[in-house]
Order: sequence, then C-alpha cells, then structure tokens
Amino acid sequence: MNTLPTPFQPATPAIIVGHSTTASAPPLGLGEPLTLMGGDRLGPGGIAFDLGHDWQRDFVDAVADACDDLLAAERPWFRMPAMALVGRVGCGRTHAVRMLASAAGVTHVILNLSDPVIAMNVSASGEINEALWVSPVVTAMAATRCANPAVTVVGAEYNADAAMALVAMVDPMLGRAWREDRIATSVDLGEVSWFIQCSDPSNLPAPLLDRLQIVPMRETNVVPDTTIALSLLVEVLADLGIARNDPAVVWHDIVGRIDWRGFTTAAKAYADLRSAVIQAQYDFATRRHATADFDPY
Amino acid sequence: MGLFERMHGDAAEKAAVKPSRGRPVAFRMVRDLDAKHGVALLFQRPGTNSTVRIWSGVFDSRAECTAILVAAKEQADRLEFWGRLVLALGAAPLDPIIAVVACKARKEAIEDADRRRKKAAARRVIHLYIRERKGRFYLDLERASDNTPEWSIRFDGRSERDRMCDWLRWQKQHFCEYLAYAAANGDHALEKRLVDEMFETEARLKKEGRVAGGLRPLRMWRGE
Repeated sequence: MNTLPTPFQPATPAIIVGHSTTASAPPLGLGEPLTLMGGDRLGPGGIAFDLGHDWQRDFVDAVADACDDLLAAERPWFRMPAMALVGRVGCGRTHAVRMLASAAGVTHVILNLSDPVIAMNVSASGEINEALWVSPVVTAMAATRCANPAVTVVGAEYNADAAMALVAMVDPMLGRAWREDRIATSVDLGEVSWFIQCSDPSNLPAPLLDRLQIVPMRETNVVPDTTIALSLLVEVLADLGIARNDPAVVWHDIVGRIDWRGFTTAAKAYADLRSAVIQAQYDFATRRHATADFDPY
Repeated sequence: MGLFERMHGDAAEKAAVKPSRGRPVAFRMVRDLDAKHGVALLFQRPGTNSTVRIWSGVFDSRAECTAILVAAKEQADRLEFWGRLVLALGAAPLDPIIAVVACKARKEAIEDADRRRKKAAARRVIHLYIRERKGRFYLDLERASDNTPEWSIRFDGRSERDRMCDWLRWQKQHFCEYLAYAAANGDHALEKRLVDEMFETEARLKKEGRVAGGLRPLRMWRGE
C-alpha cells in the first residue's frame, strides 16, 4: 500500500541562521542549524507560570499572549514580538527578561547601545568599524547554538543613530537578513525576541517605536517574604553560580541581613541580596573552618 | 502628567477594555488528613491534572491549622510566595515562616481565652447606679462587662428612688440572683419583688425600732 511520506521533523526545531555572501562557508558555525528553544514550555503551566512576576501583570500577560499565539500558529519555539519595556531605571526590566529567558530556556543577551563600540557596530557598516568583529547578539547565538535568544537592549534612548539602526534588526522582515559585514554573512534574526528598555517611549525614534509593542513596567517596593524578593534571590544565586540547596543559602538569614527600610527598587534589592548571599557564604565558610578538625590523628 | 504616567494610564484603559488574564491557581493549602493536626501545601502545575504535595507540617492544635489555612486563603500573594519558595529553595525555608503563623495563632488563642475569662469575670460583677434621665429617677443594675443597664427601675420622685436605694444598696450579694429572676420572669416581676422585699424589711425593722423617720426610713440602716 502506498503511503504518503512523512516529512522529517526534528525533535527540537532548528534553523540555519547564517548565509554567507561569499563563496566560503559562514564562520562561527552559523551555517549549521541552531536550535529553536522553548517549544516544550509554551502551555499555561510553562513559561508564563515559571516566570512568576505577578507584580508585572502587563509583562506576564504579553508573554502569555505570545505563547498562545505560537501554539495557535503551531510554531513550537519561543519568540515574542519586539517590545519596549517602559519603566523607571531600577524597576526590574532586565530582571524580568532574564527570568523570562530562564523560564523559556533560551539565551539572554544584553545589547548595550551606551557602549560606543557596540553602538558603532550596530549603526555603521563593518567596513568602517574595526573595533568589533561581530555584534554581541550573533556572537551569543553562535556560542550557545540558540537561534531564538532574548535580547535586552539598553541605552537605545541615548543613542539615536544606533536606535535607528536597530530598526533593521527588530523589523520582522528586515531582521531576517541582518548583514554582518565583517564576516560577510547574512544572519537571520527573525526568531530573536527583542526587549528595548526605555524610561520614556518618546525618546525612541518613531520608526523603531512603530515596530514595538509597549509594555509598561511598574516600579514595585521590594519587601521581604514576597515573590519579587524570591525571584531576585533566584537570579542572584544563578549569577553567582550557587546551587539553590547550598547549605549557606538560608532564606531567613539572607533576608535578615538586608535593611528593607525605605523604598527598595528591584535593582537595589538585587544588589543587597547579592551582598547578603556573598556575606552568608563567607560566614558559613568561616564557621566551617573554625569547627573543622585539622588534626585527624 | 508625563508620558510615563500617560503610558500607565493607557495600559489601565486597555486593561479595562481587555480584562487581565486570571492568575492560575497552582497552590493550595489543605488539611492533611494523614496527621492529627496537619496541613499540606499542594501544587498543581497549570494545564496538568497531577497534584503534588510539596510541603506538610504537623501542629499542636486544630486552631493552629485553621490559622494557617486562613492565612493562606485570605492573601493569595502569600500562598503564591509560600509555594514558589518551596519550588525554588525546597521545603525547609517554609517551616519557620509557617511556625510564625502557628505561633501567632497560639498566642492569639491564649489571649482570646484570657479575654473571655476576664469578660466572664466582669459579667459576674454587677453594680448599682443612681441615674437621672429626662427628669425621671432611676436605679440601674449594670454588669461590669457592659455599658448598658440590664435592669432598671424608674421613679417619679427623687425621694422614692433614694428610699429604694437605701435598701437595695445593701443587697449586693443578691444582684446576680435578681438579674436571673428578671431574665426568667420579666423586669416588672423583679420590680414588684424588690419593692415587696423593701417594705417587708422596713416593717420588720420598724417593729424592732431600728428605722429613721421621714421619707427614707432605711437611710441609717447598714444592712443585716
């Protein structure tokens, strides 16, 4: 009996993002398939739940909407429309995206347009910019073999040239063929999720703003024994490479080391928690050292 | 109003048009029937049917369990934090947090019992008050636990009230019984009984020659 051939479907979707503009193969392995991650976490108990962030309802709703859209479109990987995260400095915009990337299992990249070298790389042609070889986004994609990273863009409202050039990366069509002149490769950034931080959307150029979904980020006072403080601690532990079940990580001890008086922004809470965790590690090691039996004989 | 505030205003308007997604209920605090006074924190990942017990604790009294369940129920954020704390750092960090709630409940139970004991004691203490309201003269029996008279008798004249008071002020040990009688037979029945007892006392003392003259024969009397 003749049967229709089943098209090959890899267990994890992947795409080739790099296409050389010369005869040679693209460098950095960009000519090989890169994984599209997060497809197994799109359901209601997946990314939107693991993200938590109940204090940023607009952000969580946007994530849940994007996941629903991807499921409806039968695209089993994580991708969000480009967004402008509008909020005051320190309100937790980077934290939100980092936790989102963690929940989705994709790479998180920071594209800092305040850095003149990176801004030049984005805004100018590779032929006139010799300071940076390849943009941080493409470097991260090649290094982590992830075709759909979450990119936090900072400083876009302070560098108009770079912000204008960012349009070519963010645009769903133009971004499919982002030119990396220095490696003579056209890179597909179409599956990248862009999160552009700004405190006031009017500071962004209109062509860029037209391509962004605006998500207000609320400034929340971080207090102990809340999910936001816990979320920040989880980020701190991940950044410091400390296991969550580390014996030195005791919630009450760490929270008790911090002065919570006054308005505590997410950025300040992160810094305080980081200091508290390091101090707790140091104290634990000191105690262990003091009680250690140095003379086993 | 700055653009930032306007953005938030727009978001609020949008939220009014498009209702915010409901928060999925992933955590539940329930009684643990496997233990005598136990509670358990259950986790059900949204979109799945399997429920997992991620934390459980045993306490001294049912009141403590109830306090924990109430604390979890009255604030969804608190339960969410407890659940996520266990998922992130394990069950151990939740023990002292719940212990604080249980300890508070234990303390409140002790304070409540103390308050009830004091109130019951105050209820047993009954005072006699002489009052004037709207030109009328009253004798009130009032419990120390209340601010309103439980029983009162009204007189048109001050001297009548004082005559009654001369007798009633020495009946303090019977006040409880009087109020019980009033509750059983009505206020008017108690009025009749007290007036009769007063006249009876006056007549007996008159026979003994121990009364003063005038409108207040018992004004010099100091009880039996």
